[in-house]
Amino acid sequence: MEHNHNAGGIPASDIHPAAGDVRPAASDVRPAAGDVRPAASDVRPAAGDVRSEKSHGEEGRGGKGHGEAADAGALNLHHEEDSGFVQTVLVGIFKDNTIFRLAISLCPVIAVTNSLRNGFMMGAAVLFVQVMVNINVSLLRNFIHPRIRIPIYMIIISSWVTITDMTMAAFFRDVYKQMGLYIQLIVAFASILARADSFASKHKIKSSFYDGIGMGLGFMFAMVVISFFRELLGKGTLWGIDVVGAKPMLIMLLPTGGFLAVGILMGFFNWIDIRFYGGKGAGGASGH
Amino acid sequence: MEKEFLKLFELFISASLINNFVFTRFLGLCIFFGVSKKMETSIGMSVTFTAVMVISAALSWVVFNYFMIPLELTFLKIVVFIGIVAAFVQASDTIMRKVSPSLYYKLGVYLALIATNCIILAVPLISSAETYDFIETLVFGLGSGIGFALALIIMASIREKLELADVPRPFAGLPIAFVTTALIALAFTGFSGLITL
Repeated sequence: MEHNHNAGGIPASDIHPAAGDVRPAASDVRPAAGDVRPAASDVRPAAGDVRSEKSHGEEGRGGKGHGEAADAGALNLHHEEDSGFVQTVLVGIFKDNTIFRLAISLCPVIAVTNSLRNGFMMGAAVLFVQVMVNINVSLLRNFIHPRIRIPIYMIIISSWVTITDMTMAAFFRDVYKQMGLYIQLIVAFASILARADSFASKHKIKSSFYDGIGMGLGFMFAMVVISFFRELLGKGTLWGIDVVGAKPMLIMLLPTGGFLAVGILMGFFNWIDIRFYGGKGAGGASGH
Repeated sequence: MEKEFLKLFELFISASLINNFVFTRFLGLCIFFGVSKKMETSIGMSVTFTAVMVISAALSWVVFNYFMIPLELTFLKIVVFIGIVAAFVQASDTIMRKVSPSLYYKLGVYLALIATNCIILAVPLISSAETYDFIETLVFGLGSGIGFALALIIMASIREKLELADVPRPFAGLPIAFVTTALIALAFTGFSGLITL
């Protein structure tokens, strides 16, 4: 199945309804993303992936997220063109999962996942910031000049992170004490910036909202999975409730356990991808 | 005087070994995994990173203590710190290009990666939270840079060998790098009793 990969914003084969949004993207050189945009008639498959269950109207494009040197040669971000809530959310959770597939924004993952509650709270914070930033950028997308868009996005993101940070400090005091620094570091997430730049700046509010929820839920899903295993194996509890009654592998609570959990889970998701979707796995698994 | 020097030394050891930014605080992982594939990129990145870290820590300290505290704008620290780092990286990019093109050719590419990253923000945020004074902030920045350099160099030497090893396919690339980092982190846990306060 071929996928028509559109250079951003050219309405040739675009069924996107936002008629007023004409971005001169063909000759637009975006310095931050380092993309080489193919021409509108360029048809190329996603790098080795056969996504057989994508719905119609899907468009995607390869491109690097905000200067990340992550091993994944090109982040194949899949955009769901107004294809409804469920599809968008599923893309965010499984196909474009920030942590397991795109392998960016890893920093807080290991730090806060030593208990299920912390992981869930962090996921909720990121979800909130992602959705709000997406909505905000989508609202302003016709007013932001392309040249200064990255600083503007950073201001928007850091404002929402400040709001989240202060809200958590006020209402979830004990959780905040353990991971205060990492909440503040949400501002440096490449995934939020990349998503705002590649999706929210080109789509209407409703699509951006769904996309924000999708990516945010994907992140939360990854956090919950990792912290589930770490807390269960490390402390024998789940959300503070004693399940096993012993401390099986204390090492899972240490930094070591964090790296180990992420590595193994990433390998597992890669295996699923290779086995069932014929993909190549994330994080530079191709090419070596 | 003696006591102050000792305190600074402890801070340096803490930032570089005991609370190593990569292995204990899990910051800078994106750069870490991206750059540590080859030894030469690791060394280049270490140098650039330490320089940017120390200077932006100093700049942030000055702005925080002389502008934000008197004007009671501390709630804006996230926005301001990111602004400072981004502006400084942009400025140094331009300056390096003009002043020393050969240096820019070798190290300039890393600047873009450092620009807005967790780890470069962490140093000003931590030092403003712990209210370090100027010299302490500089030492903290230097320590974290050296710690990061250590992490990168260790990782690069392992990963270069890992490229030739027979890794199962789902694990190839990033997952096995994570597992390797887990083992190194385990080793670094041994530093935790290094300085008894």
